[in-house]
Amino acid sequence: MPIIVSLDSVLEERGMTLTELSEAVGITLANLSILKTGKAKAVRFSTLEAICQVLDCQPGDILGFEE
Amino acid sequence: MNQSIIASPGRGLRVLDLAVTGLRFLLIAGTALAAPLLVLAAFGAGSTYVSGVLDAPYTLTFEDGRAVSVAGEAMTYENFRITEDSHTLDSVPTITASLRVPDSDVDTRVVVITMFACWLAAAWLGLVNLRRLVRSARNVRPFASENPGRLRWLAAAVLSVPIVTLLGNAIIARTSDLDVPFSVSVDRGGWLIQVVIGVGLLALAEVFAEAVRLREFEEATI
Repeated sequence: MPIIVSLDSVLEERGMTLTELSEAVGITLANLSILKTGKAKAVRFSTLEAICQVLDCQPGDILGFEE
Repeated sequence: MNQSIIASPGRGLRVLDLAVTGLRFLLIAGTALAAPLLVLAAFGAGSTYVSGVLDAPYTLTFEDGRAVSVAGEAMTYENFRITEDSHTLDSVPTITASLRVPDSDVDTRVVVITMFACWLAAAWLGLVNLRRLVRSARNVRPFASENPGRLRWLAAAVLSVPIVTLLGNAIIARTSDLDVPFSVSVDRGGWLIQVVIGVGLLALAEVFAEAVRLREFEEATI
């Protein structure tokens, strides 16, 4: 898929685990894993907003595009 | 999807499930009756019947000496006292009969038995897939990925009936040894509605396939 999800690197920079992120944003660990591994087909703006708020980052920090 | 917040399947599905279960018992009973008869007929025991339509020209002669002759669309009344107040036939009658297939006419017998066996198989194919479809909906999975396929099999079962009938009747018309002026066939009326329902089911299968695609997309939307 051309959309690259770099949630791993941002979590590492913030020193946060995926479990802590899922508890903070209120999304299940399973769904966050789907997002992290690039298996998600779409992301809601509300989800992106919640993640960016918790991680204090921009959407572009976690999402990239590669042809 | 959080299934605990989804209401239990509606009454319609429960009633449908009951109806399908009833159909299943009916089909089991019907198969238990029909299968031995088909086997017996295949070995030459029992009788096999076809429908026949009397071909024109013909003459119906009555015991009192009156007769009606039919040739094409024309009818002639013989020895009838026809007056202004008489009520006669408005159109040429269609004379139908149930004709026993002679024991020596093995070809026709085989074709008739095969047709009945195909219809029975189609009924089972349709019922098994219908039951699985209804059960998956009752288990809160109406758009399970297997359901479009099940609908396609159901459509195939429905469409096979008029196809088998058409082919079988075409073969019987050639193989029949009956030396009487009847056009013989195995009567299976309502072919047009069967085709409409079959095509409708195919369309529904594609709608379900699209619904499955949307469900899978929704489930992968975070």
